[in-house]
Amino acid sequence: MISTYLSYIFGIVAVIAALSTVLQKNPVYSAASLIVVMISLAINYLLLNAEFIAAIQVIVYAGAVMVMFVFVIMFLNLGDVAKVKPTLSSGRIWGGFLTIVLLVQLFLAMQTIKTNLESGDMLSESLRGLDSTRMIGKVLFSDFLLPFELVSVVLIVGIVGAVVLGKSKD
Amino acid sequence: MISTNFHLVIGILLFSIGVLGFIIRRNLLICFMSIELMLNSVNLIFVTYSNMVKSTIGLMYVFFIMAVAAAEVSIGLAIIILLFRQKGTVDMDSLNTLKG
Repeated sequence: MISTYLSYIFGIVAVIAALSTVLQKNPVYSAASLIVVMISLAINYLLLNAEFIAAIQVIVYAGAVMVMFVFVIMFLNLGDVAKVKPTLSSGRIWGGFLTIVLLVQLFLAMQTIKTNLESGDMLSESLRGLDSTRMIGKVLFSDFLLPFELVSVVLIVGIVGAVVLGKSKD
Repeated sequence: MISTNFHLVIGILLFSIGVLGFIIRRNLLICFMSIELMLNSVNLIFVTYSNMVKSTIGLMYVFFIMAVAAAEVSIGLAIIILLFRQKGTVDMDSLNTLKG
């Protein structure tokens, strides 16, 4: 019962913080709101029986990624550069309208999928009775071994690319 | 038992807010944060369906999305720093060099 209430509370917190992320003038406040979104989502992952995903959500997103965002915002010193007066241009009105259309479409898609996909049990026999972290470990190093190795290559390319791009010319 | 519906609605709302932020904001950094928000909402929907059908495939996809997003953020922020060094601004409307 308490997990239901926690899920409702942190879901609503995530949506409010997401709105705050989008609507804040100062990028530092946006980044802080985005950290709140990430942590609320991590709590929701915990309530959805995905403990490992919740842990790496906090470590990778709320930790590493957001620290990098805040570091770049501070590094660029955007305090006064970023204060652009918000104007209600026609592009923004169209953007808001199209977002509402997208929202309605996504809701319709959700309803369709819900009627097509019954709540089944697709777990294979060898994984039955394990907790989610053990299941991820077993699947990661058997069925998903090739994507796992490829992702390490992607991360190395990311590191090398960031170093090459960030290096000063002189 | 938490209703699956609620988490799906939260995921859809977060995705739409991310799209809205990407469209209406002109600050490159905030647009980049909106992209992160959309990635996170997709992760939430993956975990919700994975919990619903008792499958680990959704969790694996979330794991790989997170790894790719980390690489993407490092490259993207390096590009933003380069742009700021060259142009002195992060306003998207002023980056119109390729405009024909």
